[in-house]
Amino acid sequence: MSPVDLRHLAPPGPMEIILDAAEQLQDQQTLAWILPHHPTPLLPLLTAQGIDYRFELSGDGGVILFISKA
Amino acid sequence: MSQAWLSYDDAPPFWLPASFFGAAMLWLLTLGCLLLPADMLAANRYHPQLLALTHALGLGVLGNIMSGALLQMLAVASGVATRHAGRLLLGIFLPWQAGTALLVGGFLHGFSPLALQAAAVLLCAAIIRLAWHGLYGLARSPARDASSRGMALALVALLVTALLGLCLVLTLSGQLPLPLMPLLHSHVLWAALGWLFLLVLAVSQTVIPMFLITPPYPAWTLITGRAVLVLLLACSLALLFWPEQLWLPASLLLIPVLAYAVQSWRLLRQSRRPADPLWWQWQGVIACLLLGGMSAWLCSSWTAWPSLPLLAGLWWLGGAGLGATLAMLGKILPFLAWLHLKRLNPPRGLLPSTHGFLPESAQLRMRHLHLLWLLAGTLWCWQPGRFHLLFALATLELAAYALVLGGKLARRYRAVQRAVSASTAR
Repeated sequence: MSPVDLRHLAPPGPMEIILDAAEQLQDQQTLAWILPHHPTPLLPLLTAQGIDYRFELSGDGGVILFISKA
Repeated sequence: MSQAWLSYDDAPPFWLPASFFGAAMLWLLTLGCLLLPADMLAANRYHPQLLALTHALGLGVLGNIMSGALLQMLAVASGVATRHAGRLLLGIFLPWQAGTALLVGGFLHGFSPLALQAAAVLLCAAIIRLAWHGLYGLARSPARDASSRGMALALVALLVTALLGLCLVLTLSGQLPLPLMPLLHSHVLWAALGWLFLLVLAVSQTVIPMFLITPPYPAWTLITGRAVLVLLLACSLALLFWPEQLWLPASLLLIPVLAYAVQSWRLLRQSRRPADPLWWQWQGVIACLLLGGMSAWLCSSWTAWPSLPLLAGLWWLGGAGLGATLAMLGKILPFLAWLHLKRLNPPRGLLPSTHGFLPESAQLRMRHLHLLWLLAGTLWCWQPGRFHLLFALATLELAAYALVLGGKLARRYRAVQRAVSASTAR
């Protein structure tokens, strides 16, 4: 699975895309995106939807966000 | 920003900040109407019309936007819950509007003591309620991030501004035997550098990195805010007891403004969104902070040009203050509308994106109209009798466009809200 790069989008575009995808997330499925920085405002909304998340550094200044169902 | 205390559950209902933002746009329209009669034919910083216009802009337009944004930021970024939104509307919003109207009317009707005293009481009541909500909430909140601490400093400055304003009104109406000019200068300094500058400094530490994708502001930005409060206190004491020494704290106050401007410019240069309208708007805010600050500093030593104090006020309040608040509204308001509707769990495809509520092209047009307004205002400060109509029309155009955008956003919000209710009822 290769993460989708959302760094070119104007905020809060990436947040809208990730929340939309989180709503349709299947059990056992993991999705990933590359973001320009740690998405602080997004995290409480993911938690409220019962979504687990973790991060990795992309190596070129970005952050990779992984989400899956809790 | 402290991640642990970011809480959308504590957010006030959408109508609470929206009421303040809507009232601000109506006050902008009022400002344009107040400019139409050419009462002030030559630049005079103490002319009743100028005092009325300054307070319509400072309290009516900026004060409303800043209070609405503050209530939202306190809840979401600092965990200060809005449990009784209706009481906040009654305790802050209504006395704020009535007090501002009475103050503006009192100035225009020859410094009417009754109107000014009633205004001072109402505005103090509203500001004490806002400060209590914010400061008490922040004291109990575990949030210790730079924005939360900065908002607390700005609220303290707002309280001092209000108390100085009350003392001014009581002195003007002969109820208190206090020295008028030191009070007046202190009131202006605490309002401009304490409340306005400190709140811009606090909020920008969250909004600029988030929307323009810049590195965060460094930790010393908060120390800058504290230094501003200490220097303001030194200025007020110098004004009262050692007026010959005022130049020192007044000159030192330029340093935090300069430091913030330089730091903001450095961050903007590292932004990943240099084409965003907010990027250009913030460049303008920084330029106006420097222009306004330098002009205000020159006012004390160079009194030969009566337009200079007016220009300092215009660039600080209208350039930096209105520029910053309009820029932030363009980002925050559509995001708030989207966020509130998102929490209603709308069916897929029903909720537009944030740019569907307010496109970037509209923010760009707003920026151009604000620049034109600022240019017209600069001409008006130079020759008020000659350019008042131009400035009035520029103000009315800016207000009309802001109201049209606000109306479109409100209609879109209600349409989605109704559609969600209908789909839930099915």
